Amino acid sequence: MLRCEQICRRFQGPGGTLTALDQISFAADRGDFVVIQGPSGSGKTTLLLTLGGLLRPDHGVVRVDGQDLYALPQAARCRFRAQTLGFVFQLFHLVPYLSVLDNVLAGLPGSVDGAARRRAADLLEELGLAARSAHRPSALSAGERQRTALARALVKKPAIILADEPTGNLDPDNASAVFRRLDAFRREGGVVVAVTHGHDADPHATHTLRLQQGRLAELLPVP
Amino acid sequence: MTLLTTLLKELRHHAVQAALAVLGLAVAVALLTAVRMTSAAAERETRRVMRDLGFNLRIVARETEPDRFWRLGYSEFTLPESSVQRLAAQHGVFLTFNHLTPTLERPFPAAGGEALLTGLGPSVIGPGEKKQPMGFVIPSGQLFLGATVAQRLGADRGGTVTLSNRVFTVARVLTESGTPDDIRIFAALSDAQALLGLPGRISEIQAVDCLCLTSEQDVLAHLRTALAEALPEARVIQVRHLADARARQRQMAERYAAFSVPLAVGAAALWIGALMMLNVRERRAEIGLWRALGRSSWAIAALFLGRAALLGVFGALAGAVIGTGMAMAWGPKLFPVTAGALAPDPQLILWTLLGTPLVAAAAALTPALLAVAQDPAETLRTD
Repeated sequence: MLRCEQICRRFQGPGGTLTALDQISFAADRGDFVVIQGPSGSGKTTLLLTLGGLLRPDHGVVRVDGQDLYALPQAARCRFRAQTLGFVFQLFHLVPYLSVLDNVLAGLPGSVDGAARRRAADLLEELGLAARSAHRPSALSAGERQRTALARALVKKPAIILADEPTGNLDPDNASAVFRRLDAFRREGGVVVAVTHGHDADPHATHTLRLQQGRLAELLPVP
Repeated sequence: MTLLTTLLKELRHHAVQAALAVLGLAVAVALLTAVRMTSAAAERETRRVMRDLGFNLRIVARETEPDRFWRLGYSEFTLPESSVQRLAAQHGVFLTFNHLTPTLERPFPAAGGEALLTGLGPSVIGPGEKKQPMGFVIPSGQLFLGATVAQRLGADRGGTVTLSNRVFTVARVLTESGTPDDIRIFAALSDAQALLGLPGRISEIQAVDCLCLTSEQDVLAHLRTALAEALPEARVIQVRHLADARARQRQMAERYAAFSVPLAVGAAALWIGALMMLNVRERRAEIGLWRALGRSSWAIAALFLGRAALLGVFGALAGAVIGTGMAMAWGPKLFPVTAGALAPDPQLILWTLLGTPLVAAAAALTPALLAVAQDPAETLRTD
């Protein structure tokens, strides 16, 4: 399903060249929950953005269902991302001027029909946000914002969800709720790749990747 | 959710920034509208003032001696009255001459003294033009009297005067002007021809030059060339100080319009461009998010171009109302002579409503391209 081969990514900075990713390879199939762990600056987010088609690697290939993501023209890659990938960010990245419901609907590619609206409303209900659907993000707590972002990622029924520190700003209860929902998505046949530097996701992980200074230090299939 | 709904929600969210953008555009549109409306009023006013200054071209018979012409104030030679029609029929003549007015002028005895009898025929203007006649329009059987001659004849407005046994009504007594007009008796051309025994003859064609060139631009050479083709038996004399004043006034009005319009448009474009740049900077994370959600470059550019165009619509609406209001409120005080002609200009409003969103969108092009070119990874990376 998701396969990356020999990914390398370097950045030029004032202090010289920084190697963010160095020869990273791994694969995930339907039903996998891959947790990427490592200290700050180890390249976790860079890897996630590369998997999401948002950051072209200097070297290596990212394939989804056999398709080389970066061999696609930019417009096709945008369409691919819109249809196949869901993102959840640590800083939520909700559109501040849209309501909770509109933020969830913004996750859908193309026009929004009645079925999509019903699905969005159902997700908000399931995530305990039904009463907040008309509110703006500024009126929500951190947990509610992240659950809104999760609903936005889920509404289009993606094949893969890429989550960057999804519980980094949440209390334990909210963090647990987010991972439980991601785990449910995985059980429905989706792939989850979650970056975290804590251990909240460990109970749900099927694989754990440990990054150290851009290198894959450890790849652990969880029994 | 449509693009328009998204744009309206974003504008409401960034209300202060949007209000500043609308304000800037509205001020520019208001100035533009007011300047265009008052420029048109100034042109009307100038035309009226220039018309009141009188004709600046005198076309006389070629045999006319300049020294006698200037000493007497009229040509002793005559042209057939049909010369006016011949001149008017010449192709392109109205690009050079206009308000062709057949005139017959001769000394005429009046109350023991001598007046100047001036017969004026109907002016001929360019085809399709709706210009007001420049000189007096005097019906047959009526006279306009200069102040001195009226006093000498003891004539008042509405009274009668007998000239060569013919009774005329005094339709108007002119205010003392300190010019030869004070001793003129203005009559219809046909009446003057009858009184002077010169039927079908005129002493000159009075006209206005349309070239609006100043004396430094050798206008006489142009006029003489044009006349030589149309009426070779005549010569043209230019009353240069009037022609220069008219030309300078018109050129000044054109320069003013040529300067003010691009200035207002440029200032508005800079203002909206700067605010849009600010908007793009503020929304970097949002742009990154739209990218992550799979929005195309066009969809992202549309967020900013559409925003600018929408602000342009609001600015144009507000500016057109304010500018028209300003021109209607202050225009009559600035241009009292033609105040009645001041009116909202639907064509100008329509062009403003169409043009402002386009200018605003064009000004937002660079910020929109920057938004499109922005690397989403830069704003989405937290590691």
